[in-house]
Amino acid sequence: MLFSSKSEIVQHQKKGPALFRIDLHAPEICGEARPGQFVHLKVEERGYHPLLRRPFSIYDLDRQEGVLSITYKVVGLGTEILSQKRQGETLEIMGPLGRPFTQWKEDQKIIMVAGGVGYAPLNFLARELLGRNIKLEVLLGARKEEELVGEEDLKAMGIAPEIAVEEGPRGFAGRVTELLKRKLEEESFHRLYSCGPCSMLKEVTRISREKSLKGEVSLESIMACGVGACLGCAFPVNEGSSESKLEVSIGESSGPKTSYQRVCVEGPTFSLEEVF
Amino acid sequence: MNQPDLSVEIGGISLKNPVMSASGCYGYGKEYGAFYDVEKLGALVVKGTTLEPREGNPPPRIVETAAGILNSVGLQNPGVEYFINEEIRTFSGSSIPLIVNIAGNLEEEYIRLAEKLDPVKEVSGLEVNISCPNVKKGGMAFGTDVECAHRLVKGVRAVTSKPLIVKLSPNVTDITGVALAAQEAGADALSLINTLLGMAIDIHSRKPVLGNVLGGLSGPAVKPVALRMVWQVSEKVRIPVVGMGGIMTAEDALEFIMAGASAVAVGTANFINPLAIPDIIEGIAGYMIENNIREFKELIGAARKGA
Ligand SMILES: Cc1cc2nc3c(=O)[nH]c(=O)nc-3n(C[C@H](O)[C@H](O)[C@H](O)COP(=O)(O)OP(=O)(O)OC[C@H]3O[C@@H](n4cnc5c(N)ncnc54)[C@H](O)[C@@H]3O)c2cc1C
Ligand SMILES: Cc1cc2nc3c(=O)[nH]c(=O)nc-3n(C[C@H](O)[C@H](O)[C@H](O)COP(=O)(O)O)c2cc1C
Ligand code: FES
Repeated sequence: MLFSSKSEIVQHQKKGPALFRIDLHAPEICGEARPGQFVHLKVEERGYHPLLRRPFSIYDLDRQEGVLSITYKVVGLGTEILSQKRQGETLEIMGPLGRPFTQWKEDQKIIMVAGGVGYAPLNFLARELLGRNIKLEVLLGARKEEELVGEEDLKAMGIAPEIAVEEGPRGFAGRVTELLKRKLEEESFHRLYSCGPCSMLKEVTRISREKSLKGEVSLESIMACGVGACLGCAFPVNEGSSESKLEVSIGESSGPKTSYQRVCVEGPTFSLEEVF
Repeated sequence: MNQPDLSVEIGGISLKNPVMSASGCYGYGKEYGAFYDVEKLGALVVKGTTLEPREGNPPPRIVETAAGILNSVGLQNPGVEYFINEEIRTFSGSSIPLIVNIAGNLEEEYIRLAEKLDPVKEVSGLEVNISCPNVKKGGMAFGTDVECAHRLVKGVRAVTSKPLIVKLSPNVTDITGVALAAQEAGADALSLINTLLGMAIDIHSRKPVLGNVLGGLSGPAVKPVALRMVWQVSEKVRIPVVGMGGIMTAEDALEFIMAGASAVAVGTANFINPLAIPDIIEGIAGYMIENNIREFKELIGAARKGA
């Protein structure tokens, strides 16, 4: 079941120079949402600028209170308008959308790799995994320290993440993917989950494949409908790794055969075998 | 006042209300079925169907522009065989007309498509897309050339008894020429407009934004152009016109109807408001009640009276 309704902003906090967390009262969506899913928000109520909704991962939720949280970075007009909304105002929200992260019963030790605000879908997943007593290690990366997302919330869950900041001075001075590489030299994991910029995910996928580590990534794409109706969010997915009937193979490309899949329905989570 | 009568007939297809989905913006109907009963629609127009499966264009396929979107989806679809063998089943219990939008590069492809769909009982009519801006060959050429359009529609007409709605391209100097050619060739109705050809450039990467470079503009930005074309075409043709292009609200829909459209289709609005179609149907009914209009037909071309 999908819901489209107005929801009240219960709290709106600034978390960094361009980072915000918004808590929305959306009990219906909370009831059904799973980690990895997203909501589609309308930031402009009256006019047509911007016209489209904006997709955001579910960062956390409190089922009892019916409160759903999003953590977002201001990157353009839509997120700028969103950042000016106040507590008590309402937003139109649609969800829960997309395919959740798959969780495997047998997993006992899991690694997560996040780039900046890409940590968003992983926070909700971390909470569920910890509830299942899984041993969890988290690598958080960012270009600048102030772009790191999730450290506080992880600590509150009893997890001390390892940090990589490209421009220093905190943690490992370099890319989070380099940290991942080193980590995988020393230890093995049952599964990896990752979200962040496309270039980072590509590298994470490459490293994991080398180590035969399985897992899932969450992708982003420009979206219009968010529900599978417009085919606007297509991403080339490796064939033979999914059962979707919609696939139509893309000819003339070198490398593995791919077909376009909808990030909003077949994704945003994809297995490491499916992408890049 | 009782519930007003919203029914209307489009080229032999009876609609219980004048609001349909716009092709390519509503999948096969399942997606919005998660929000409301799709049987509320006047008719369901499914996405562009081609003879062979189409992979569609490379991403990015969508870019937002002022009060509109550019898309270059490029007719991604699993092909007509798949549609007939797999998708059609989901419509067997449906009580609303199902209209299949067909597209191709060559005239023969349209004819083969019409032949294949002609015996399919679930299909109430065909919308012949002679106007898609997202396929390199053909497609729009049919919609921009009067003779080509005539020949194509005549060819399709010869192989099917199903009602034909010919979808017109706005990317022409004089849309009424193509409209008249389609009517003369045997179209039962016309639908307009398809998207307006456009593009966007990313000044940071210094490259076109869309993977396909060019795309089709839709949404509120195109409404005045669409409305003008519906006005011009309805003046010239005898057959019913289905108006579309930037309809977001019941008020927008009423403008098209008053300009001469017998029905409307809603595309881009669904992406912003998943309940756009039921909201528009309700809004039209509300307007009729408020203004004491018993039959929807009274509104068709209302703005033309004396024009
Ligand atoms: C499934 C999904 C989940 C997401 N979750 C989060 C989240 O939890 N927190 C968060 O901060 N952001 C998230 N995003 C990205 C977020 O949707 C975009 O940052 C937002 O739509 C930008 O809107 P804007 O109007 O501010 O920017 P615009 O003015 O539209 O664009 C500014 C820049 O951002 C790029 N951009 C715009 N939309 C997207 C997009 N959908 N994906 C990638 N780049 C985009 C544009 O190309 C442009 O360079 C998610 C995206 C998807 C698809
Ligand atoms: C994402 C998208 C896909 C579309 N696909 C098709 C298509 O397959 N066939 C077609 O005839 N028109 C297609 N159209 C055009 C619409 O049916 C409609 O004519 C146009 O978008 C104008 O209406 P709107 O402003 O309400 O969207 C598409 C439009 C969009 C936005
Ligand atoms: S955003 Fe429309 S299909 Fe994914």
